[in-house]
Order: sequence, then structure tokens, then C-alpha cells
Amino acid sequence: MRTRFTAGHAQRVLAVLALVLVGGLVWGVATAAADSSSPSPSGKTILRVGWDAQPNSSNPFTGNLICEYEINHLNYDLLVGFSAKDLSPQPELATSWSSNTDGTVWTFKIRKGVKWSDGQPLTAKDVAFTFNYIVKNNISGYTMFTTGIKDAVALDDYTVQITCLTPKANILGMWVPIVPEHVWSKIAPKAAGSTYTNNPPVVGSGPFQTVEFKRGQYVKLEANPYSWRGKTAVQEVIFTSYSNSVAMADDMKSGALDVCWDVPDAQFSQLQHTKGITALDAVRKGFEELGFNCYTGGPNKGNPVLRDWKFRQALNYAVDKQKVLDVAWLGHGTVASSVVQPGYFPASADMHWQPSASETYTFDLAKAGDMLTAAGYPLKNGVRIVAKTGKPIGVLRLVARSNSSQSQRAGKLIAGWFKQLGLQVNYQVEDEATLLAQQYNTVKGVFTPDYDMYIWDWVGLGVDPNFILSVFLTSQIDGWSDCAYSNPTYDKLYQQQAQTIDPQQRKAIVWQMQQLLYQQTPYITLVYATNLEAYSNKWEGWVQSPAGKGGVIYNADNVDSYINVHPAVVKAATTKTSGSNTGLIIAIVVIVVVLVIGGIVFFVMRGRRSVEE
Amino acid sequence: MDKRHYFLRKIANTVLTIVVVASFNFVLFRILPGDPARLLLPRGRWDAASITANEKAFHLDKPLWEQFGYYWWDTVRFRFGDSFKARLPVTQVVGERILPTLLLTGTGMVFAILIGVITGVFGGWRRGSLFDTTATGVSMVFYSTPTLWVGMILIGLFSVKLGWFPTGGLEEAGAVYASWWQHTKAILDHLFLPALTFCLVYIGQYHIIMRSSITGVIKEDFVLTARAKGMSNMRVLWHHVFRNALLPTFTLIMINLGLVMSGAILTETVFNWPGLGRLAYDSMMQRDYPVMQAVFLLMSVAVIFANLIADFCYYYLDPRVQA
Repeated sequence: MRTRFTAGHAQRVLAVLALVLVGGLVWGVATAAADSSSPSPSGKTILRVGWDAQPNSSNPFTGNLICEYEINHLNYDLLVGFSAKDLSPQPELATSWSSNTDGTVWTFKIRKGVKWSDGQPLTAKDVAFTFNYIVKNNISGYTMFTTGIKDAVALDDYTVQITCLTPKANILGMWVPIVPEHVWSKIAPKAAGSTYTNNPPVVGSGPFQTVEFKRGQYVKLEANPYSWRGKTAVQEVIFTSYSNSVAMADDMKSGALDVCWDVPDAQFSQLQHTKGITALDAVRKGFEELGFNCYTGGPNKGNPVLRDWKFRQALNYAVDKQKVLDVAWLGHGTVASSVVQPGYFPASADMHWQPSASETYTFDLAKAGDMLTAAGYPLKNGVRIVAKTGKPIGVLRLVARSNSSQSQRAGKLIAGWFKQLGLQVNYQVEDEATLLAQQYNTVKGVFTPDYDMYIWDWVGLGVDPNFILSVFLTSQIDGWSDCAYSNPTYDKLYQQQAQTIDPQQRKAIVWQMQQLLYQQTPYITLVYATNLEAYSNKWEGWVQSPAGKGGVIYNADNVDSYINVHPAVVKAATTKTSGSNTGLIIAIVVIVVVLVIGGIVFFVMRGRRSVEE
Repeated sequence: MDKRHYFLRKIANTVLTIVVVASFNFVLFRILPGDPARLLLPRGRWDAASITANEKAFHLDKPLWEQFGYYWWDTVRFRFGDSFKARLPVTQVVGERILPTLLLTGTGMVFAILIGVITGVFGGWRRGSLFDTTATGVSMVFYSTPTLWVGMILIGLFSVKLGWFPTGGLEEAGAVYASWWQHTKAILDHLFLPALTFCLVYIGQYHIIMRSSITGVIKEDFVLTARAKGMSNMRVLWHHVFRNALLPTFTLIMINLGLVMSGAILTETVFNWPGLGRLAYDSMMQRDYPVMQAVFLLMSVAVIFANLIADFCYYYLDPRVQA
């Protein structure tokens, strides 16, 4: 290859290259800075929401993440909604309801004049279709709410009758989005529950419909022109998924976001002191727990001592829940006692049982040790042995999750306390998929759980405790149950409460069940954790759900914030003019350009003059 | 060696390597703990019939060797199945990440090469000078700094403090642009910081390699001869020294070119950039096997092809290969 590539050429090429490079940078930066911060000068009122969640799909039948439920509740309506004040049942698509005496046949009156977002009228036929679709095709996402329903019939355009096989106690708490028959009757049911993507624009009756779904980036919703709720101040809602929560908090501070969820602790303290932003320590549904492998119904690779409820019960005295709250959850929340949360649900649905002062487990390592000994696990040379066999108990694995630093801090604390009891605890951190695999391990197709203890949480949907209580059923082993607990008395009580319509009677049964769980300890509930949210004061009308303590978003049960919020009347004109920076930027870049070119020319010149040996 | 023989041999090698890597790909993901059929649905939200239906759909109920057969049959037809999580074709899920990845790593890499090579050439030529010490020092500092940290510092300075650039993302969420030009400008605006992060941490590599090979070639006899002939310094540098010193750097460029496709997981996470690196990590955490397989196959093939291109280029760059 012979080219006449002389030094002179080289210099010129380099100089031009450098000019192009820097010139491009100058121009790019200058124009980018000079542009207005909003590229969509449409003047639309846009609500920007930030979270670290990543919705997978717009299909309401396959969504199982809270972020997906949230978006679904904006696209679609429920039959009976949850009031913002205390999550008690309130009319949504149904304006009123009644039942027969034994609670097996429920009649709902449907709101008149409702239209789907494509202009078609919404009638009771759509409601009936939705429930029949789920029940007949066993679309697993919502069967936990529809259990016991035989069928749904549209008596006329505005009346739907749901017939249940047995009295259904949680019928007013069904979190089931009502979907349009004219769209979904065309979809094969198998596909609806698995592969159908329900691409935007979504057809729903809710206040907003998804118009753009960019996986891993953002979801954009536009106001429903036919919404029965009337015109909302917000015309567009954009949910942005952040992989970097610190950047999300930064965007909240700079005003690029209007509300965000799950702010990291350090940034939360910053936001609490930022003017124009309200940082909220929001109570949410659910609890954090230390779970045990309780499986007695078949082969089990976990440590056998955990199958003895007396062993588990003794461990209650070795967990300082207040310390766990303070150290692991940094004080964000309250100490937990039962799987049914107190003070969150309306009085009609508040089934929390609080152990009396004498019943409550305290942090008392000595007592824990004594109880272990009494249960047949005495100490021998500082190590707990099984009295019957004389052999040491062996290793107990404690798993914390890699994506939850709180679970890791809690895990270290708990491992430390258990070790003081003479137990051999192997603390490790795993990703959720691995833990799940161990919990649902199979050997040659037979369920064989392979774990001991773990720290996880439950965040519920809807307000009825029916679901969280079902986790401990024998029938839910290898299903919802991650502790594989089995107790025939408990199972019977569950069936009873599911069919008891009278709230007082039902509460009595549910209390009994909680007492049983408290004693038998398939879980040690640790904390009712709160969630860290922040919202901008540039907007008014944020609705906390439940009132006074819940969050403004990420409730999925109640989406009033989106419907109610509007730009604050007194708008402080603190718009940072990015144009004012342009001059500075150009000046700096010009200086850099001169320096770089000068530098290159200088070195090139020097090279010509001297001779390097 | 005969030119055609050389190229054919290289191509045959490439094909063989791809076959081995792709097979290894398949085995690797089946060894991971966790039953994918159960991870398709959330904790317990299923019944035995749904699980078996899912297993059938993904051939998970068949013996391993049969699954392997399905795997190869689908791979050659570019049928990678559907993502477990997104329930969309894998080609779509992976395809929409390729351009952002190329934008980020490609831009960052090109600038890193340009800047690193130029500073390396002048650093090596003037070894020990102020320019050399400064350039080497600065590039080594950035090279040894964790990518995450560089990214966070740049965000803190340019996004938060000065407000010149957005904190992340590919484009403004939900924005509607007046023209494709506005759209492109917005993407460039978002691209600047991540590409800068990526570029800064890679400059050091090229600088050091270029610098050391330049200093090595300067000592050669033919350089002395060239000078004795009366050539100017610049001509000696660019016409003789640079072209001979280029080979190790060229090797490095080719290796890294293959890595361009593997994305930049750390940069992408910090800047919320929808690239292949993040996709690889997310799909791994969720045990989304079809996506994982496709992504890793893509990355492996990219590296192998980069090697092939390097081999082709060597034929022309290095006359010794032709012998």
C-alpha cells in the first residue's frame, strides 16, 4: 500500500479532526442548553411519576406487580372501589348493591351513561363477561378474588347478578378490573392469560388509558375523553422507570418529576429539607417477615427442627423487633405482631388481632433458651442438641435477599441473636429467583423444599384479609405458601370465615386464626414497613389513601390522586432559564477549543524543530 | 499463504467457534438453579394445569437432549421464542435494545480510541515530557476509577448542579417531537453524559498501549535510518513509527469492538439507558431464559465476528501474515 501520506498531511488531518470534534461538542452543547427544557410545547398538563418498578405488560390479566396494578386501575375501573379515606367499599362502576339473605346471590346496579374510551357504551354485559371470562377460563391472576363465584349474569343493561356457590364474604373487596367485551371476546382465553400483550392504545373505562408503552423506560397514559368522572386537570400521566434511584431523587429535586416512590433513605432526608417538596413516610399494606420451612407433608431438605412449632415459638423471644425496625428499616414503620395489619383498613375490614400484654413475645434471650430446652433442645457444650437423639441440631440457613438491603441488615441481626442461643446459623444473601427456586424445589417432580429460614415481605392487593390468610392453608403448599405450613384446624377456620358474612362473627374467627399463627409461628412478623414517597407542592389535591397515613400513589386500590390533582393556584415563577447558561457554556467551550487546537499546533511545531534521540 | 486459503480458514474457524459457543450457551442456562416454569408466574399464582401448559409451550418437559435439538433448530431460523416476562418475541425485546447500545458504546468507544491513540502517540514520542506525564496520569486516574463513580460524579456536576444535561434515560419520557431532527437532538442530549462516562474509563487502555508500542518502535534501527536519511520528525513519526506501532493498539481496538455489543451494564444502570447490558442483567435476575440465551449468543457472536474482521484486516496491515 503506497500512499503519499506526508507529515504535512498528518498535521492537517489531525487539526481538522480536532476542530470537527470540538466544534461538534460546542455546537451540540450550546444548542442543547439553549433549547427549552420541555420539547413538547403542546401546553398539556403532564403529571410525571418516577419509580424503580418496571411494568412488564399492559395486559390486566397477566400483570402481577403493584406498578402494573396501579396502571391497570387507571386504565380500567373496578366494580366496587376502595374509598380514599379508609379503603371502605365505595361505588365505582357499581352504584349500589344488595344481596340475598345468605350472601350467595349479589345484585349490582351499574352506573348509567358510562362509555369505553373508544366511545362504545359500557353495560352490565361487560361486567358479566369479565367475571365469567375469569372464572370459566381460570385466569389465575384474579382467581383469588373470584373463588366461589359460579357465574355472572346481566339481568338488563344496568344490572348484573353474581351467583356464588357459598356465601362470599369478600365480594365487595374484589380487585378485578372490568374489561370491554367487544375487545376481549375476540381474544382466545389461553392467550389472554399468557401471551396477549394488549398493546396501546388500551380500551378501558378508567380515567386514563395507556397510549405508549416503552419497556424498561416509561409508560404514557392520556386522559380518557369519555371518562364518567368528568374532565381531569391532568391530561397526561407519564410513569418513568429508573434503574438509578439516586437519579430519580435528583430529578424530583430539580422538578423533572412531580411525584416519586421508593426514595432511597439518604435522598429521602435531603428531600425532606427541600423547599417545594413534601416527603412522605407512607403507611402501606403488608408486612416484613422471617419465614420458616414448616413442611411436614413429604420429602423436605430443610432442617427438621423447624417443623416443630415449639422450636419456632421459642425463637420469637430471640428477635428484638424494635431493634430490627430501627437498624434494618431505619425507623420507617412500626413493629409488627400479626399477619393482618392494624390501623390501615376501614373499621369494617380491620380484623387485626393484637396480642395482650401478657401474650406478646418480648426480647428475652434467656427465656428463648429455656423454652428451647423445655421443647427438647438443650444446650451441650454451647451447642443446641436434639435431646431425643443427642445429636446437634445442625446448620440453619438464613437467607436475605440481594435486592433488599433492609432484609440483609435484619438478617445479620437475627443470625447474631440465634447464634447466642447456641444455634448454628449460616447467613447468606441470595437473589430472589434463587430463593424461590429453593422454596419450590422439586426432586423428580415431587415437591421437596430446600431452605430453612428467610426474610421476605408480603404486599397485598385489596383490603380483605382473605388473601393473606390463605397463604397458610395446606392447599396453598406449592402455591402461595412459601412456608409450607399445614394445620387442619386453621384450614377449617379459613373456610368458615370465607363464608361468614356477618362482620362481627367473621372477625371472631379471623382473630382465632391469628392467635393460632402467633403461637405456631410459621412466620415471625417483623415490621409493618412504610414507604418513602415525595411529591411536588407545585400540584395541589394529592390524596393520601388511607387518609392521613397512606401514600399518594402506588396504592393500586385507590387512584384518586391522579384524578384529583391539579397545578397549584399560586405558581411560584421559579422557572430556571436554561438559556441564561448558554453564554457561559459557549464562552467556556470556546476557551477549551482554543486551548486544544493551540496545544496540538504547539506540539506539532515543536516536533519539527527538535530531534529526539 | 494463498489469500483465499487464508480467508476461508478464518471463516471456517469462526463458524466452528460460534457453534461451540452457542452450544455452551444452551447448557449454561439449564444448569442455573431454579425451575423457569415456576418463575413464569408470581409466587403460587398458578395451578398444576397452567404449569404443565407453560412447560409444554417452552419444551421444558422434554429431555435435555431434545430441548437442545429444539434450541438449534430455532436458533438457525432466528426463532428465539418469547420472553417469559414480556411475553413478546425475544427478537423484539433484544432488537429494540441494539441501537441504544451501539449509540452508547459505539460513540464512547470511538472517542476513547481517537483521544487515547492521539495522546498515546504524542506521549510515547515525547516520553517523559510534561504532556506525557499529564496525559498518562489523567488517563490512568480515569481508567482506575469505577465506572459507577465517574457516572455519578458527572450526573452530580452536570445534571444536578449545572442542569446542562438530563440525569438519564434515552429520551425525554413521553415527549412528542416536532421533527426527527428535534428527536435526534434530544437523544444526543441524553447520550452525552453516558457516552462521556464510557469514553473516559476506556481512554487509559489505548493511551498506554499506544504509548508503549511507540516507545518500543522508536528504538528500532529503521527509525534511525529514516532520520539519517534526513526525514523530518513528524514524517518519521507518522510514516514509519506510527504505522508499525499500530498493531497492538489495533488488536485492542478489535477486541473492544466485539465488546461494544455487550453493552455497558454499569453505565446503563447509572444513566437508566435501555441497553443490552441492563437487559442481560434484568433477564438474569428474572431467569428469563429465552432473552438471556439470545443476548449472550448475540454478545458472543459479536466478539467472534470482531475477531474475524481483525484477522481480515491483519492480512492487509501486517505483511508478515501474508508470508
